[in-house]
Amino acid sequence: MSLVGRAALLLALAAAVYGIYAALRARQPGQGLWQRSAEGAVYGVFGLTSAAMATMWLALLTDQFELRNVAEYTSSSLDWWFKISALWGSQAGSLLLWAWILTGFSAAVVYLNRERNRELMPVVVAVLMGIAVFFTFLLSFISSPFETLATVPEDGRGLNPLLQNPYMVIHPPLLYLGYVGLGVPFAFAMAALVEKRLDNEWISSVRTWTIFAWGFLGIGILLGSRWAYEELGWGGYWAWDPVENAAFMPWLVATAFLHSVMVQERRGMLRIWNMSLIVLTFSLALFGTFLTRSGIIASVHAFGESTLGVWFLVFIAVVMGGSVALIIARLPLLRSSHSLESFISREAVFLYNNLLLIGLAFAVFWGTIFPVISETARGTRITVGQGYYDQIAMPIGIALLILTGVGPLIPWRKASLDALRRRFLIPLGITAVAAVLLALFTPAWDNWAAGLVFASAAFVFSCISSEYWRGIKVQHALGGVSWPGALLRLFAKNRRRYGGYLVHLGIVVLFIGFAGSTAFTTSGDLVLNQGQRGEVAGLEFEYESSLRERDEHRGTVGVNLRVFEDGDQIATMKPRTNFYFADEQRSTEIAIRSTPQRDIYIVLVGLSEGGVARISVFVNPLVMWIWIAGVIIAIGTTIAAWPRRRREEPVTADRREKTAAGS
Amino acid sequence: MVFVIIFISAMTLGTIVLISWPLIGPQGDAARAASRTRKSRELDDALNRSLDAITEIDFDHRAGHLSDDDFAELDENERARALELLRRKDAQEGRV
Repeated sequence: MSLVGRAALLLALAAAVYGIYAALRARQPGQGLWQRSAEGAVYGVFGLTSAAMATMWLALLTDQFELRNVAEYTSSSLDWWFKISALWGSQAGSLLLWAWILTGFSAAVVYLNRERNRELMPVVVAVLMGIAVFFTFLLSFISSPFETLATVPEDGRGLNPLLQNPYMVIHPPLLYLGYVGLGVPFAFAMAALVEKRLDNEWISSVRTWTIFAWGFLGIGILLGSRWAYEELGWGGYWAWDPVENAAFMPWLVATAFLHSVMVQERRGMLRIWNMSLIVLTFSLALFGTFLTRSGIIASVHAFGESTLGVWFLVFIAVVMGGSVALIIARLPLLRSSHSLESFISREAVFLYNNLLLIGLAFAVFWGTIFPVISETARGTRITVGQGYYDQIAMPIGIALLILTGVGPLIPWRKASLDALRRRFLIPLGITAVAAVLLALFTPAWDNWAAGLVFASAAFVFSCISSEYWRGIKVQHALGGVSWPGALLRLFAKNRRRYGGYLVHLGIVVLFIGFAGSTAFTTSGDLVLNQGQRGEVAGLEFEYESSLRERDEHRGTVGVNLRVFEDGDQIATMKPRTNFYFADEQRSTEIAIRSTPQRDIYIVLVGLSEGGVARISVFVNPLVMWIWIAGVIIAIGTTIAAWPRRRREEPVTADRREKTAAGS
Repeated sequence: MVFVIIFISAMTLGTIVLISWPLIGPQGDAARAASRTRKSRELDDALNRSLDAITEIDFDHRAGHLSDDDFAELDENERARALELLRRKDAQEGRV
């Protein structure tokens, strides 16, 4: 099996190198057949990496312990779906997944563009195959998933218990779909620069790819948070861990790109900025991959130390150096055709949004690498705490939230005072009412930042609702549809805009969840004997019974707790702790009772031989809304990215006349 | 081991066929026809984008996102672009 896998990867490397050669040769006039050959190479590389993936999965499922990856990350008793996900539990396996998704995307790009973007495709193929060469080289010579052991063990060491979670089955592939997907807009941007085709066509070609990659990255980050929340047992879902930051940074910059690109499409502005953003996004995606593999940072999400870091640094330097040189060479062609006419206009709001997003990305980047810089410069590793990130992220986040509502309501070019009054009067009125109601009936203003988030959420919600209402009215006025039909037509006619607004609504819900769960969390530790009660956050916890179990693989201890509120029992919760014998690892099985109002989150810290239980209780308000927001964002992203159906019928005579007549 | 050798040989052969077939396989009329189809498709795409842009500009104007002056300018520019694309399409299809 090792031989088949290694051969597939070596062949993939050779085919990718050939693909670059053939694609570059196809740029010469009259050499179109070379492009078809290069595209054949792309399909071939995808077929070969698929063969490597299939071989690896077969090895994992059939317990081929002669392979290091199988022996160190699985055991014969592991459930089959965790054997599948064990592929990305290892350093080399996750690289293989990267390469497989990349080559799959490359094949999809070639197929979908078989009849369009023909001038750009040679360079697109060359860039994508260049990235494929890097990864297949690493997989063939530096970190092979098919490495064999001199002595074959009877059984494997098993998968880290922390990774034996359904979210770990889906979170890494989604994250990689995001990271790798960002390579496609990068390849098109490079092709547009090389071929001097710097109009808006390359942008419309990559719009769907960028939205999907952004969506996958965002949902991947959220699922990773959910995993941390359920598995790590510290009561939270986001800790500004370097690896979390590594995924967050390209997401922030991609968000900036998705907004600023609209300014280029509509007003011909920000061309250099957009090029720079796409280069930065892809470089940060590579940086994230580097960060988890270099061993330079300590993180629960990172792989162990390896020699891969240097290779990634060199590759990132090549990508950034080459891209910046190209942008500089094309500066005269990238000049904007218009300039900013007013600081109160749609394009200005997009610019503010971009500056805030990039500012936040830079602050996160600085906080992430500061420990490394301090260690290099001073010999002492200075860790950047959560306080640093919160201090920066909170004001920027609130400003971004407000802009989420402001942007869609401000017209392009410039806004008159009268137009602003008409647009914002009702949303501001609703916000004022909401702020007063929050003050009267909730503790929201006990924490000013949380109160501001809730009030801003009311503002943005009313802004977006009014925008939907305005669109529905226009569609209805155009005739032929009912009011619900007008809403459906609104989505059908402009998926990107109205799917995007749905994403904005998801962001509002996300902020509500963040604000509630960070500002109003209550926690406490209890030490209880059987039958005793303790109180945290107005809730009573009664230690009803305990259990101790063991089988051949693991031992489990747990307690059953009855939870009371105002004297009524509202739940029985069962936190557990497992101990895995094979790798001598401990994992906590947290008990969570989730409602829209709050999560009750219990960790069993210890259970003594005498039966005394030590538990940590967290009461986290509004956390469920974070996961609901993820669903809304996923639906909005899917609508926004859904490709338009291509008009197959010729343009009618009627349409020609209307176009010419201006009606 | 025999199976492994056969499998690796098949992968190698398959890859070679995929990349060399466009260079050594039958060409000529089919390739030229494909090239014409591609050019026509690209023109159709550009035209569709332009027609969609006209619709969107009109929608934005009706929804109050564009002033009358901005609408007039944007609409005129986009219609001029669409007409130019229509002329090119007519020329390509031999209608003029």
